[in-house]
Amino acid sequence: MTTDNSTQTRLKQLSGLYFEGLTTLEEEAELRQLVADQDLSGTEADAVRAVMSFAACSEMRRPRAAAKKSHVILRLTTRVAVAASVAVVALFWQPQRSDRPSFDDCYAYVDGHLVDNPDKVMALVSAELEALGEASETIEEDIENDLSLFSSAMQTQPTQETESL
Amino acid sequence: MKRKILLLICVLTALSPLTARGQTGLNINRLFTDSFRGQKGVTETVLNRERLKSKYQLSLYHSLTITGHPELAAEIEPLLAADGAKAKNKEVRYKSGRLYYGLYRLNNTAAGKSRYILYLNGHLNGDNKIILLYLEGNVTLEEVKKMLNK
Repeated sequence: MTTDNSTQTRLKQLSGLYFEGLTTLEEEAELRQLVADQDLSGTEADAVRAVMSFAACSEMRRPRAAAKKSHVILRLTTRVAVAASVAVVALFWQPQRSDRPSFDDCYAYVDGHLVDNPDKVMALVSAELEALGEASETIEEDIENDLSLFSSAMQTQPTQETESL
Repeated sequence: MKRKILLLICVLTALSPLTARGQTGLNINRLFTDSFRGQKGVTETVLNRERLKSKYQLSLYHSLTITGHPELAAEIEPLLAADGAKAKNKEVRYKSGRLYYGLYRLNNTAAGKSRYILYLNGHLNGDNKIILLYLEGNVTLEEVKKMLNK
């Protein structure tokens, strides 16, 4: 069945309004009905059919997208929480070297080499504590000496003041 | 409900390492890394409770001794100052404007154990060692000092 000129004219009119975004709902429905006729050919009809088909697909997807939105947000929140937890663990957990004994043992690394002989490790500990002990003892002696000096100064001071008066 | 349980598990997993290690969260922790311990002249020593309780009432002994690197004191001092600023007690001595000796008592761990940092820059006294020591245990400050002077 061939289309008549009036149909073509109406198609041109409605398609012009449609692409300008100026059609009313009724005009849009009329246009959809016109292009549904497969006998109506031409570039304008094809263009309208292409756009209307795309719009129809988008409308069909929109309700499902809205329902999925909250589900996606919740899944995203969970994933963010998991990622944040992993990041915190990675940040604070001290990585263990593969060649290092378990933390429940005694060992030392000397110049990057592992020493796990307990006697040698305890010898290192003793040396460190001894050095710290010597410094601590020296400081205490110095404090005692300083206090003695203060004490001596205080004992002699009143006499000097008396003399100055 | 399942999501809430998963979130709770993740949070607890993330927090557990923090409570398990009292040394965690300290600035000096940045020194107990591969970049330091792998250097020539650096000794890192770690002892756990079993080795320590026979001699000392400690649960952790963790030290760095650095020999022949006086320049590293400049890296250590700011970290120590940051941790020492929160100390409950401290005894420090400076020589020539640099930190020579420090004994800091920190806040207790979550498990109630005492924590101490000790520091000695021997380069300021004719020696060639820097010692940084972290201790944990049920010990008082006086007991730590006695331990040093044994």
